[in-house]
Amino acid sequence: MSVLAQRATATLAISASEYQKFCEYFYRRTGISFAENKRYFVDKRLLDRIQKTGASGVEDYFARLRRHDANDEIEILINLLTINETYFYREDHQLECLANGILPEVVSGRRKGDGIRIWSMPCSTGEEPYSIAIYLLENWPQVDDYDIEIMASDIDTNVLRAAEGGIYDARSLHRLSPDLVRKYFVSAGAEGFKLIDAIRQSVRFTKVNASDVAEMRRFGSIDVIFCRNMLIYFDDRSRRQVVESFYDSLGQGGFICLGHSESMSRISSLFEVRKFPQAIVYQKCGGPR
Amino acid sequence: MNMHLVMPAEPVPEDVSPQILVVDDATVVRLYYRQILEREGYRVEEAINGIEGLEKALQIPFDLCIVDVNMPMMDGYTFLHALRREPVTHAIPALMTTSEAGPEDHQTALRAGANAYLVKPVSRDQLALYVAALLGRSVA
Amino acid sequence: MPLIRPAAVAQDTIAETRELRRDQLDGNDVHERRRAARALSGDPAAAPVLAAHLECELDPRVRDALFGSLVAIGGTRVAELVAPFIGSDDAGLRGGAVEALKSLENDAVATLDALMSDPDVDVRILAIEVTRAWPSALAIPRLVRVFELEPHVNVCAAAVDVATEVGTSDLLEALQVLRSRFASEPYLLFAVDIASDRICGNPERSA
Repeated sequence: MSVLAQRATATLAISASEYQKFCEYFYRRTGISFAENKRYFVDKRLLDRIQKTGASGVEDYFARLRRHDANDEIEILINLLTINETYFYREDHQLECLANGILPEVVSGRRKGDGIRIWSMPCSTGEEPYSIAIYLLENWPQVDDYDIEIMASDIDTNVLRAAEGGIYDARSLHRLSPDLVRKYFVSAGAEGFKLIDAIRQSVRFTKVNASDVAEMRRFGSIDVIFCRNMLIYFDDRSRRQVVESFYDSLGQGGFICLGHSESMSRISSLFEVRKFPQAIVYQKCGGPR
Repeated sequence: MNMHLVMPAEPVPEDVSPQILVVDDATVVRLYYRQILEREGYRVEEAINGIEGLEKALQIPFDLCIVDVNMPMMDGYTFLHALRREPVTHAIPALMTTSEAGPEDHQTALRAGANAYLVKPVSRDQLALYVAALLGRSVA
Repeated sequence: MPLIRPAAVAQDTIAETRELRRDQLDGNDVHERRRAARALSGDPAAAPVLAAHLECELDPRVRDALFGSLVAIGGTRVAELVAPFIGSDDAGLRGGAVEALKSLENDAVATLDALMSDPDVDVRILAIEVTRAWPSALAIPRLVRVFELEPHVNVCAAAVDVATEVGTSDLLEALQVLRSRFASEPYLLFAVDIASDRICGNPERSA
């Protein structure tokens, strides 16, 4: 048998201990746990990365993850191990929390006609900020009483451009009822569906690098921030700084919502944990502790 | 007769064994407690610091929490204060663990809201006994 | 229509400048103090001033900026200035010091070795935590020393926890030494076995 064929048949496997070790590392870093029945799911992706990075084996790959320049690889790994899709009304329990829990608190003490500022960051291709707009129009009884500004930001100009265009395929709309689709979208032929102008034009999209303190400081007096599935990819120091920027951008009593499997526990103690029936969110309270 | 008889679906056996939250930033400590507690028939959830502990306690109806004093982000005392403040969690029994054994530490723990206090390292028997007692179970 | 298109986002008028004066570290405004702390990150002569302000600064954001600037300045002197905060009563300062020493790496080696001989058990435990983020070449020898010589069981336990994550086979022998030193301590026996298992990996490789 040729050397090449031999190499091909020598398969690498991940032992129980190595799997445990990886899970312990991943949990410490992200807060995400894998049940035993996820073994195949995790192994497959780990082996894929070991091969793609040219690591000599599991131990070598783990050693690489600990290096200073490892963040790109860690980002790829986390991406592979988490489910990243964007579509309208994704994690809509948070939208429900916004309408039923967060905003009623935000507006208590405000007068009719006052403003509310909501920031979706990162906004990706726009499903999140547009979902917020639609959901509030459809479900928040007090929506007509206030001037709601929705800001949306991302570091990637391509997704921002797509977001401004407002054209989506059926997959992106799969959680919306036919009535909602009829109400807020028009057919865009082969491309799918286009969001109606009234919604499309009500959101302002801006390019922002979350790690750039000066860029982030341009956003102030925000009432609610949606930052879902971004911080999980940052290293410890970077995500702490991003969260500090968010804290500064929020008005007193402002709220921030993270992704479903994310938590401030690995990032910062600046915020107070708030439990609503639909979700756990974080709130900025008074001055320094 | 207008009775509608519906055959009940096969009941899914509900796991009613006590749920315990272990809050400690050391991986091996959590693993150690998990093994002991699962062998006693309990279900275990983990948290690496007080923030994660609080988040989980607010979402899952734990029967007991075991919490270490020294943790980053939010230490054991702060966690207990928050636990006792929240209506949903304020009655959860709490066993506090610490590396130190001074008398002031014991009092501080009780004042923070702990029901009992153990000095690390904790032995298997100690843990099993204290947990059973705090859960109101017979240890015979 | 309740949705209002937000105004264009304004350019920030207060630029981050390196020109800020040290006395602005005492200002009433959190943002000004933080800007001042950040502005000093390129000034080695400012290290003692930054460290001194850690003693009285309560806002976690400003503290973060003070530690951040100290780390950016770097050097063994900075490590010496940061080290005392490991023993602080304030959890935030302790945590900030640990993170700073983690980042300082080589510059913090001598300081860390001194901390690992500190009479305070909690200080020694936190010092070990620092090694979790260090390259193996720096971490392993320190862990070996703990396994062979450290008398307090909880300090050893902290070191074993670090070894579970970052340990290499160079530690196996010293782990067995530890195991025999604390043969009557069930938690430590358990921990050593876990660490050894994680280090060995028990590979199940197919042919």
